[in-house]
Amino acid sequence: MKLDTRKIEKLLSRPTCRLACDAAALIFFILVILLPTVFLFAFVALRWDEVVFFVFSNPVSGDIRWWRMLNAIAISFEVAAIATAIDLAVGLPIALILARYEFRGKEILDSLVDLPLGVPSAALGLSLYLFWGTSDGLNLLTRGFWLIVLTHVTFTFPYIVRSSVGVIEGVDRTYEHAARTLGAPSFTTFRTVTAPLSKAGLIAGSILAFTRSLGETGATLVVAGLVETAPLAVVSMHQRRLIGPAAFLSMLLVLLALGLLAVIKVVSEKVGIPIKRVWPGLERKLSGRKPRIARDIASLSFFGLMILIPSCFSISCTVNHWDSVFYEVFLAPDEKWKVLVDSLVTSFEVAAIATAINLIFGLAMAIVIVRRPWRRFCSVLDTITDMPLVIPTAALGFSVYLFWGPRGLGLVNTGFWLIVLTHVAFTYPYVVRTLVAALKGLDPSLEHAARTLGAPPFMAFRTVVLPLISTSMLAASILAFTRSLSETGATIVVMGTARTVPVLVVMWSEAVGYARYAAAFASVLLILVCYGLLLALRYVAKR
Amino acid sequence: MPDVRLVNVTKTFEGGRIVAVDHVNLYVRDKEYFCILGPSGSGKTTLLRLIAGILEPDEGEIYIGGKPMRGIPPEDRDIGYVFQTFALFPHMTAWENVTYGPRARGWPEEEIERVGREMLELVGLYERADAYPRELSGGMMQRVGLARALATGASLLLLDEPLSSLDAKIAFELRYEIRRLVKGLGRTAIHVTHNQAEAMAIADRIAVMRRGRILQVGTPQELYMKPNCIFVAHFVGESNFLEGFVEKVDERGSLVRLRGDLIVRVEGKSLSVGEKAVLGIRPEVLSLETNGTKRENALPGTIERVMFEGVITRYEVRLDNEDLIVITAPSMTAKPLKPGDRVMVCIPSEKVFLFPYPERGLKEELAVE
Ligand SMILES: Nc1ncnc2c1ncn2[C@@H]1O[C@H](COP(=O)(O)OP(=O)(O)O)[C@@H](O)[C@H]1O
Ligand SMILES: [Mg+2]
Repeated sequence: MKLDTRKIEKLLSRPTCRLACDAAALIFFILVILLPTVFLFAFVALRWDEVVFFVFSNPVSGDIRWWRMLNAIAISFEVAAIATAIDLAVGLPIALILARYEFRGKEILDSLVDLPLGVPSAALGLSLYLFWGTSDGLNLLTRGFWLIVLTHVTFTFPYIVRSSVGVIEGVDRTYEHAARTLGAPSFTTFRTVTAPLSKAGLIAGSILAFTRSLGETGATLVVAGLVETAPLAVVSMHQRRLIGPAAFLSMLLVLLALGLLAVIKVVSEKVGIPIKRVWPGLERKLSGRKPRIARDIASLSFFGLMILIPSCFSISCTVNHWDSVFYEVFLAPDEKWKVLVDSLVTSFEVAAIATAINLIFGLAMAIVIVRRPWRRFCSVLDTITDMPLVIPTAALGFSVYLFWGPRGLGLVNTGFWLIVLTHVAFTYPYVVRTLVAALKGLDPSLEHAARTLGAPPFMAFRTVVLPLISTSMLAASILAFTRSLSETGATIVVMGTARTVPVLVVMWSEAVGYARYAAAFASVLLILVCYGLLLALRYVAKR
Repeated sequence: MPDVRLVNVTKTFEGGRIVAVDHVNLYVRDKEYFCILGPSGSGKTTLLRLIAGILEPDEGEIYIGGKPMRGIPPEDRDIGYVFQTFALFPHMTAWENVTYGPRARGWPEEEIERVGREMLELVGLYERADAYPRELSGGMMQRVGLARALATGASLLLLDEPLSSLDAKIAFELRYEIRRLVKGLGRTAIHVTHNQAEAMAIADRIAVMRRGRILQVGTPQELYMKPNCIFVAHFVGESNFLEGFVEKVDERGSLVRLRGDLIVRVEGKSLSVGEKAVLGIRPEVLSLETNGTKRENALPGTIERVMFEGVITRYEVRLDNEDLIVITAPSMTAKPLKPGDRVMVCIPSEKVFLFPYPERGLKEELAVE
């Protein structure tokens, strides 16, 4: 028996098996991720006449759609820029607190920062709307531009803080000690040493926040009111069957996002933080105890009052109005609880299937990227696997729909399986990213040791590599699972008659009457599941 | 006048569970080259960080030039710090690294130019001023680190194992260079190391540190000749340790009875009759005789191992009472002995250290963590 497994593993270690595995990874990537994601471009090119007809020279509306699109894009970019700027202003001090101070309760602050990540964006939008815009909360802001900005600040905030804490912690404290002993006060030290050394990471974090904001749909739908951002425009055009214009706008959005990224990359490499000059008097003042405490208090209060409390407000709202909530969900004549149960099942099924598929093919892809000797090719792969990250999910969902749906290959119709395919596409980068990092961090000599001890390659992989990256696999699964569970934009475009919970939250919060209480209830369910999973992820990652 | 005084300085970590520096009292004189020597984990870096102001003591006070330092941040302490890992800013050239201190203090431009040039010339790296740290070798990086620490004119230089990341040969050259520079500029230096040869070679005085405490302070000669405890005898130089009981104390010293009723006469008489004792004997003071007669302080034994180590040869002798003792002798003049040979180990009574038997046992006392 023993010998048999060895035989099988030897067989599985043969180059042909490896080749088959690599090929499967690549084919999956091209067919399920890459082509559906970029099919948009082909579609626009093929249907250029239609685009021109609807967008630029419509007999009825002329080029008014074009101007509307430009307007929507401008709003999207404005929102993203303002949100990212606020994130940086508030997030950097908090990142510094987390990375550099030791205090009791640090663990708690650390996990609270992640809370908005664990709140599905539609639920988050609802929560903020309830907090700012209804009589249940403060009733200060109506749906519109500034509520959109606040919402985007809230869900992009964790990205900035997380990535900043990571890079700042990565800067060896000895450099800071050196600067201090050389006579630089703390502010000068941060500006001339810590910040330049973490520049790349800070920019990467900002880009992540910016693109997330640019492509967000779910939360924006809830809080937008009459304002239309570009992803909302895509969704609404799709709903009105204006396929050509929707595709065209999606393409514009993708191109602009990519272009902007390139510009930021180039500019940030050229322009550095000034490290030559020092203004001892001013910087000494800024380094003092008082400015520092003032800064810490300001950023922590902003975080608490503008981000934390609004994002869980739906929980308190559900508790406070439990009678109405209970009536809306369980007693109201339209029997919302049945729909809710159905969509819960759908949401979890989609998330589970998408995660499982991505784990298998993502691992194969990560192996190709890290282990295969085709350096150039691998680094190109490494870059393009990230592409779905910068594409607004509504546009991505739309593209997937065009590719598989009746207008493209005609293989999959809107509904459950198209939702799965879409979710596979946008959660893929999370899985590959995590596994690539894990594989890269692995000492190759461990595997060599196993080989010299007589293990065929497959066995070495199974007994050495797999156990060592299992934590990362779990982390990747949870990440993909929560991302899928909380997605709205991409789902709306491809769902047909199927429903997921975030979509329900959006629909109910837009509905008249007190359906928003049912939405609050649904989003509390989502929040509990997602944040719970996220805490589990933190626990796993710590171990 | 940058003398440094530490009074009862204590620093704990993790809520008091780790006592890194334990009630340390120390005085470093102005313009002195002072070494702190101890095994790794003994609290040397923590002590240096306390002096630099990177950490604040839980208890006690540090005075630099007579001024209490509590609450004064590192940038205001007028010190230079040289790091084990160099800590050269990777995004700055050698020049920018060296002139960082003067710039941070807002010195006028021509002064910065002058000092930068002077310091880089001092360490012989002016031609490499525009090189980034990654383009320099380890020895060069540490030279730049030294120039950087000296450039602000700080009169107190703190060096945390500045040589232990370097190749042995380069470390050997650089140790004398550092001392020469510091002495030439008239600075005070506190140099931390776990390498006793390094400390012995360059220090005016050495403090031996263990588990957060200072065990002994003295010149290298004092530490070598008159270690005040078993650990110092063990860590500075090398020693054999034999256990026994004090048999008799007279005007010439004490008689100590070892295992197997071997009697050794020593000059010290710090212990009283009946007390348990440990004899510390340096291998280089022992001699071997092949046909000696039975007499005082000549212990019979059998050669167990002979190790040729170049300059010296090391003999391990199993005494007839089963104790093992190590003897070293210059190889060129050593007798040709081989395992199994019967010998007499001769102990000069005036060169034996007499210590009380440590409370927690000899093994524990010798542990270097
Ligand atoms: N920041 C810290 N947190 C917790 N323990 C520390 C810290 N710094 C040092 N220690 C502990 O204090 C002791 C002394 O450390 P250190 O001063 O680095 O010793 P050395 O420099 O002599 O090797 C060690 O046990 C070390 O683990
Ligand atoms: Mg140390």
